[in-house]
Amino acid sequence: MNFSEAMSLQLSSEQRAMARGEAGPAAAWAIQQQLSVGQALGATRLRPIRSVHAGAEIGTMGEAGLELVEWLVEQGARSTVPTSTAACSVDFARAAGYGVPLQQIERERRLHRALERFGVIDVATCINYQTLTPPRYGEHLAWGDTGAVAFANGVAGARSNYEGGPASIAAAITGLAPDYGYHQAEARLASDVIEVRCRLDGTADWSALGAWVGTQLADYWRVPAIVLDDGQPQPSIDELKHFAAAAASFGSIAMFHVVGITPDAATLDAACGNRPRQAQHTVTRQALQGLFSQSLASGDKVDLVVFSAPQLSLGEVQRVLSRLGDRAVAAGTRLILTVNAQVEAEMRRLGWLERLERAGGGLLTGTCFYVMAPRDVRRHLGATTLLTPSAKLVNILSGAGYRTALATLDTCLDAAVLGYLP
Amino acid sequence: MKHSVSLRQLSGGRGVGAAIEGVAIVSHQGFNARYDLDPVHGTFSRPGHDLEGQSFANRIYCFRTPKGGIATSWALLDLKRRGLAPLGLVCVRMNPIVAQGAVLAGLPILDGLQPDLLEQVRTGDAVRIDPASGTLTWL
Repeated sequence: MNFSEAMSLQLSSEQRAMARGEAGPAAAWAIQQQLSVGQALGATRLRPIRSVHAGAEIGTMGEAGLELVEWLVEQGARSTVPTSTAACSVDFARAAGYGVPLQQIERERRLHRALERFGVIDVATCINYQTLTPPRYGEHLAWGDTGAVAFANGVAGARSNYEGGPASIAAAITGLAPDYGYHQAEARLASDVIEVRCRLDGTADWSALGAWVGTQLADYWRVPAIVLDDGQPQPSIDELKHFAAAAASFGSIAMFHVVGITPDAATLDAACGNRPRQAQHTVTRQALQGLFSQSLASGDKVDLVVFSAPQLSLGEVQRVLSRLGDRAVAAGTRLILTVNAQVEAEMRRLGWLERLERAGGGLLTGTCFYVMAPRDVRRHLGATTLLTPSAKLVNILSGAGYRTALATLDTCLDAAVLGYLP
Repeated sequence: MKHSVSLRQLSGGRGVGAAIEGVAIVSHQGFNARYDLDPVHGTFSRPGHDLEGQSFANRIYCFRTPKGGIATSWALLDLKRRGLAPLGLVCVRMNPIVAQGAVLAGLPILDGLQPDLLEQVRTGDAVRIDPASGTLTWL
């Protein structure tokens, strides 16, 4: 990196020493990464953060990223703030049955050995805010998973930018993050007003709304303020989680308000403050409906029904099982739920995993469907068509050769039982 | 070919990294390494993508804006190791993920150019980008 450029940030003497290498090569690498990124994005300084959610998985980091993490740990790098891991690219117990390449499994093992030495809490989850600890209002964070960042900022009122894989590792080493964007109050004010003119029902509707908003704004620095329809029941945490994940996936959105619901949006005026409004948008049922079942028609065979992106909470698993009732999955169709190890453990204890498996459904743990070698999985399963209530999953998988469609939870389960889209 | 033959430079940008020269490859769409690229060959694999089937290797990749998750923050380094990365990135508006990915891979990145990048630069144009001065110049 260009050290003279990066020095336009105001640094403490300790931070300068770190950048000069006086705290070792790993710390020097970490702070220099942060200074360069801060330079590119207009940060004026580095600021302390309270926790890190580290996105590191072999599917995107490859051998180059793995060797970097191993080198850092070899140099003595350790996390200096509580650090949890985002979804991993392998469910170690089940990957073989899905055709995940052995090389990927071995590399992922090496990565997690290194991360354990680094000092992470290896929860391998994208819903750390539901199963590990919720973020606190006003808390500065360096979180990786983009849906988790949007949730932390929007729902909890915590403060984080997207700190992607290498940036999250750097933040864990320094305990700092470049101070720009969503660490600062003025950037968190709404830039766009989204009036919803229909009732939203269930996570698929909220996911579709996130997809619609993300598509319209498509800019990390814009902040939507959602104004709900009169009489709209208050959203659940699971619904807000799907909104956040989809808005992040489709539009790189990292912060949002829901008027009357989220902490800095008691009123629309409070959400917008004195920030100039870029645009006013209206969402109708027709607009949202256009996102459902786009690439599959009624009667089309459904190979996979996948509940994923983000991993399911225990409450979502309960809803799936209760709506499935005593029906069984059709032969030739797979029903897959992705969860983290904490939720799997509870499913076992409660007898829910046995219920799911008895109905012909399957579980993937510690990963997310799109993270675990989706192209190899598709070929191994001989699957093409996929139905899901997650717009984020639809968005990602079409690039991996799937014909995907968004559907409500009930339509997804009906399709799993029938083997085709009703 | 660019629209205006008289226009030789876009300016007012912000970025980080070394100045470089190369041939532009232009996409009018968003970008995410996980959503859009074949991870083995580094070619655009998303159906309907305006660069479908093409590779940005060793070109100056000009695109609208990043989208989606964190994949790009790691992916550029591994693509570079395998000779599949672009020489540099220019976008209308960057986000932290693509900046982190470019910094990790040691690739220059630049955004915020005026007038509008995608109206001016065409695939095949030979250009120089200089993040320190915030400029893109036709050669």
